[in-house]
Amino acid sequence: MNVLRSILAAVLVAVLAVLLAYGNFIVLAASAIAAFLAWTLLLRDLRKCIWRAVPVFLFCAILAILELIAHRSLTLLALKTFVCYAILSLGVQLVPWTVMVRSVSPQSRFFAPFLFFLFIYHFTMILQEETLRALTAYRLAVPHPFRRGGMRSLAFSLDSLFSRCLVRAERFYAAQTLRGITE
Amino acid sequence: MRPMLELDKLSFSFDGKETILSEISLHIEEGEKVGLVGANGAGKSTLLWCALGLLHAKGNVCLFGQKRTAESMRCVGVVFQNPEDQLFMPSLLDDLTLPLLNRGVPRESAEASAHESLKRVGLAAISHRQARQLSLGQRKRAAIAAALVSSPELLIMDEPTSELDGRSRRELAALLQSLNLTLLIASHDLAFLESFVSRVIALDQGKLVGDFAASDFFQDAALQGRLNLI
Repeated sequence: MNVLRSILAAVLVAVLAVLLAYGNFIVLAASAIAAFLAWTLLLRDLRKCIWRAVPVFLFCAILAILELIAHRSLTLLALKTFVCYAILSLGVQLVPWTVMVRSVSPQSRFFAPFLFFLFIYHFTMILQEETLRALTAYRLAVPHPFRRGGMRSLAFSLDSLFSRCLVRAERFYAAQTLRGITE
Repeated sequence: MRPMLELDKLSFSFDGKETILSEISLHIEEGEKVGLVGANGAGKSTLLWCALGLLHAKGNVCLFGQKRTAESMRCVGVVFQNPEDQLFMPSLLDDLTLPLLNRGVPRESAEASAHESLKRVGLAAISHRQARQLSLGQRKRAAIAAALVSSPELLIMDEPTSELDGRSRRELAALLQSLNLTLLIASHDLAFLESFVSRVIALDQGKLVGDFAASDFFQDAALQGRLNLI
């Protein structure tokens, strides 16, 4: 089962590369929806998945709007960004991390790249946790998001994500340095 | 007595403007259990980060009688105020074995040491769980286990009781009392420190304002009041 999950995750990354190179609008949109639904089924929590995807979706939407304003035409960049997010989220969920940790020795040449992926995974989790926290705080503080100041608060709330993630990344790196992991 | 940590005129400021620490010198010897006290913003955490080399400060830091090196840092265990980012592996057991495996310890011995550390903090039964799935108090205990697993000679902790309930605080105090190693603990939880420290170093607005025997400090309510600790 674990081997199958690892192979599936690797296949997803390969599919993503092909999609980014050759996918048209319909294929990309269908892939994003399919990957998002599969991720939701795997986590069995639609609400959580939607909340986690909100900042990425907003980022992509703003990217598309800025592109439209600047060039008066729309490329597939924003859609491709969301496809990356959806497919990689599914891939990360599929990887049997525990089994892999025990099968890769720290003395092996594969350990450093594996640790790199674990760090990326951890940072993804940090981003998701901070997103949930920021949006929960926003929801409690702003009862009517479409009234005066609602959207401005949302913008500040999302903006705060970057500084919070940076602080946590700094703490994480400091902790791993002291544990000798980064040597 | 062997010197464990020596700070000589340690000063730190952000962007060279706002002074956070001002010429702090202190000396901790083997076996001492030292409490670093001060109100919020006194500079306790910054002092620890500077002593560990995570922030670049002016002045000298010596560990075990020599200038601080990556090698000497291996004998120092650290528990941060926010332990949520200290552990990142898919299970607590993997988190604790990683630094040992990284140093070439065989997997069997590393896992035995990890189990022993988790047992000491009462988390052996959930060694398969990921740190993210634990409560804050459990994460703190897991971070302590991770610090202890490498058998450090000096253990540095920043606000270890900040997420713990009363019972967990008492258990942690008992655990720290039983440890045969040098401790430097930054906290403003005086009741917690009183149960096991032998010496108290007080900071106020980035300056070292006193170095007391624990019995003198904990009996002097006026002093604690002046330091905004009560």
